[in-house]
Amino acid sequence: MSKAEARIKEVISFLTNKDTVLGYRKLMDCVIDTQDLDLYREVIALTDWKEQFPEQEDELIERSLAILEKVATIPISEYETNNPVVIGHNLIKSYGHNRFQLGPISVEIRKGEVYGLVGENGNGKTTLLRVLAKELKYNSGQLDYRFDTTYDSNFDLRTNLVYIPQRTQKWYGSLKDNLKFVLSNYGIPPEENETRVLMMIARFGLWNYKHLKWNELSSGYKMRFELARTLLRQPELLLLDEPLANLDVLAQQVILEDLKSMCNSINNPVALILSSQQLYEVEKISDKVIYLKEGKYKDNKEVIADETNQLIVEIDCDADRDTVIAVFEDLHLEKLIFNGGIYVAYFKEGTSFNVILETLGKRKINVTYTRNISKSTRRFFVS
Amino acid sequence: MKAFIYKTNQYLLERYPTIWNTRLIWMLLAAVLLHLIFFVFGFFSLTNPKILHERNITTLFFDNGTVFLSSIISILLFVAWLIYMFKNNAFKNFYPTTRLKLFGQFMCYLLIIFSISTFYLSYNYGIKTYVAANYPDEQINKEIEITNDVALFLSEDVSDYTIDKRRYPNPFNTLFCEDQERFIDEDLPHLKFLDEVFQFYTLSTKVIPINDRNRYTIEQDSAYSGYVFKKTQDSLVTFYFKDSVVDMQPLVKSVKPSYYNASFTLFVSMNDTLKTNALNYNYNYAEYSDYDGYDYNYRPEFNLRHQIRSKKNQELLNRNDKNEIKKLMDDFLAISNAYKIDHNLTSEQWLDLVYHPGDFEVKHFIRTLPKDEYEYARVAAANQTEIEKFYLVHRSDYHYNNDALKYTFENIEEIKVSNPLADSIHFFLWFSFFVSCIVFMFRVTGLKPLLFSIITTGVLILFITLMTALIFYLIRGSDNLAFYFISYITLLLGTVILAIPLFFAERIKKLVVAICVNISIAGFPLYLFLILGIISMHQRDSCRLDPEYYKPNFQCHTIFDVFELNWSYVLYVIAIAFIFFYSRIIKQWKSLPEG
Repeated sequence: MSKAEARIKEVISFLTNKDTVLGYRKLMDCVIDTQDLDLYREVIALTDWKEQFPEQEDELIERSLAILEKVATIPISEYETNNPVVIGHNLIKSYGHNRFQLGPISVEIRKGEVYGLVGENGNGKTTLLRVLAKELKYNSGQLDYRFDTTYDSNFDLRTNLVYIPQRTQKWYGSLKDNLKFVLSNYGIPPEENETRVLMMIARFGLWNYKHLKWNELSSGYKMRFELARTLLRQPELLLLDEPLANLDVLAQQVILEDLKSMCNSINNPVALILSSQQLYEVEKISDKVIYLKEGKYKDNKEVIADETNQLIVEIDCDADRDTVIAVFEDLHLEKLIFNGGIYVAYFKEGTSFNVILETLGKRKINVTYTRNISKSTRRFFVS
Repeated sequence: MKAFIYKTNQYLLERYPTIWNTRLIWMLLAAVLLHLIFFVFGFFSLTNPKILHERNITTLFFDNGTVFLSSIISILLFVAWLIYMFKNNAFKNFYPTTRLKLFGQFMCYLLIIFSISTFYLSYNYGIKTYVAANYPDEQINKEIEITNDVALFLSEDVSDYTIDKRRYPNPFNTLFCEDQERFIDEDLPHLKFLDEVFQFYTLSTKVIPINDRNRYTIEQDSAYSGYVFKKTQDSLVTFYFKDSVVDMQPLVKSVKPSYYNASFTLFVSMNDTLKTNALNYNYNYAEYSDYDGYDYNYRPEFNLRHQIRSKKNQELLNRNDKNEIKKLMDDFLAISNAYKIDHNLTSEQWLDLVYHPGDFEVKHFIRTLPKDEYEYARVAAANQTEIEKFYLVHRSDYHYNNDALKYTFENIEEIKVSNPLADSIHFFLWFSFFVSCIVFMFRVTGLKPLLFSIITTGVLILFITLMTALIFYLIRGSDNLAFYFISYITLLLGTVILAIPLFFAERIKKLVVAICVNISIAGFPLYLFLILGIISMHQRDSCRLDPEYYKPNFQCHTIFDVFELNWSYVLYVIAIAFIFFYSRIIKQWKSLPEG
């Protein structure tokens, strides 16, 4: 079964299980990959209808499935994602003698993969992103871009990579015009312009917001418009600096999901690297997490492999330290760190997280939150 | 209408993003509309002919405040345009662009700024069209002819009618009439009217060829010092000297002011083809007495025009046809009324004032301004000359503002020959170029580099100025050397600024490169101009080495003589072409990493 067939099957299952919101989004991803403007128009019409009659779920599902049938008939060529688009080798960026230095860092970024860049503030996340985006000079090392589009100047190169800084710029004028302006600058034929823009608006759930002004949008919708604009540009490399800042948990999840699916497009994948403080969310969607500490690079998988298979658990409870130590007395507790709000307990290899949960329950400890962070970069933050 | 604008905008947005972004179509439409309005303003600005009475009406745009209206409209349009245009910036966002697209953007700015800053032209062409339509050449020529024919009866000034003004018949046109008392030999024949004395002289001449090597030395010679005037014709300079006194008594019936003596022409048209020989009066002639004598030697009457006018006047008087004169006066007053010239004459009253057959003596004078309501009879003051007393006694209560009429004709003719486009095109071209450059700099490099560029330019100018002062102080006595030094320093500085974005962009801070890019964009034509200046300085210096240099007719050809004012167009085209080629560098700069 090809990737495209598998995806269609998945969407059908979402829709038939009445996961309409998710299913509809995935349906649009399938349609976008066909690059078929007639199908685009059908989806646009359906979206318009959907927004007018939000309660008619059954009909929506029916019509969506009809579109999916058509999608299935269109062959989609799979993009070969084995070759990296960016290769950085021993990159070093120094802000001067005795000041912050990033690297040496080596990275290889492939299309279709999401790279999460985590680390505390001031550890070089933005610097690394800006170096990779050619926004910032690096002092030594090598940085190669292997884009599919040929380019003969750095400016043309930079039209194929998009860097979205933490504070995005304000948009002026009609939001839709801004999106159309992108496409006309990218030389999209005039008759396709409107359709492609509306498709992207529909995909990012902006249908009812397209007539608003920038100032009337919430942070989440601003970010979605920004992403819509970015994806219209069909970049080969996308670098996002803290895209989740100022967003609520739900919005964060939606944005991340969208990013993941966009970047996993079958025939037009994007290499994505994003920085964030939202470790769990980022870890959830990332194929690879890069942890930066004082400008140095730590790949979570590598680092963790080096160390013994400790069990590290985060616990938030109202018990005092002695009680907690007493609770874990028989469980080979190695170290207990209390950072004022949360305990981080280190257990010897062989201790299972289930036993920890069982013990906490049996001893009636009032736990408000707990998490196994043995495999998470979170452990670097708390240690 | 709204739907049409929306549709057009969408059409442009999908096809021509640069034109959509720069609002080229709308700005040009607005500009065309405003140009039309200013044309209409100009067209109707002269509907009241009284406006023509003031001198130099070609500057009406500045005099009647239209310049403020035009400036405010231009500024408002400019600001509104910027607000709309600044909403989007493809270049800043790294949307794909080509050299041609970037250049196209600059050309849009140039076109828009030129079209919204040149309402002056439409206004003046409105005026020109009005004048061409309402005052056709034949009509004006006819009116000027009538005016000049009747002008002798305007009786404004005694001095226009004294015997020295008569230039017809022979020998009046060949003689020089001395009227300065201190030069008059009372023992020789002379004429006298009240306290004015006139003595007529024949003239002798001396000639020097223009190209005579020693011409200026000869002129310094005392033998040439007493000439009354000199005339340059063909390749000869003729000096006129007073020769012998002629007794005019037998030729002159009366010395009293007479219309027979009038030889002035009230208004000489620009289209007048009569060649009056150019005369250079010897202003030194009277200097050995006192400086005030300077003006008295001005002898404009000694030319062909006066001779012809004198003859025409005398022919009219000799015909002694009362109806003919009245007809002339009627026509003239009709013209005057059409132009709303201030007067209180009727042809009958006027005829009564002037018509004294026989010797046509001037018995009444006409004022140029209306009689003051509170004017009381002035008692002849002791310091008044006899002539002044004579004038006051014979002054009537009639008035005619002949200056107003003169200026009216002058204005009409000046407006007709004026060429507002040719007169102002260089200003408008360069003005729009530099403003476009600033907008372009802001769009491509951003606000910070633009501000830093302005500051840097200021600092560099200050540096060069201080350097100039220092150099002048250090090498006193050799201005030329100082000029060379400063010019070359500026050239060197310019070359460095130009070279940085071209060759060292990667090695220098992005902001510094941006400043150099900005200065290069606007400064390139100035850089070329500096090079031309330096070349011409060298050429002038090499001229000085030529043994012929100190000859009066020696012409030193410099590079500026090749195209003269057209250098402006040449530099303009080069400056614009430069922006096209420089767009590649601008793109290169934009993609430079920081830090």
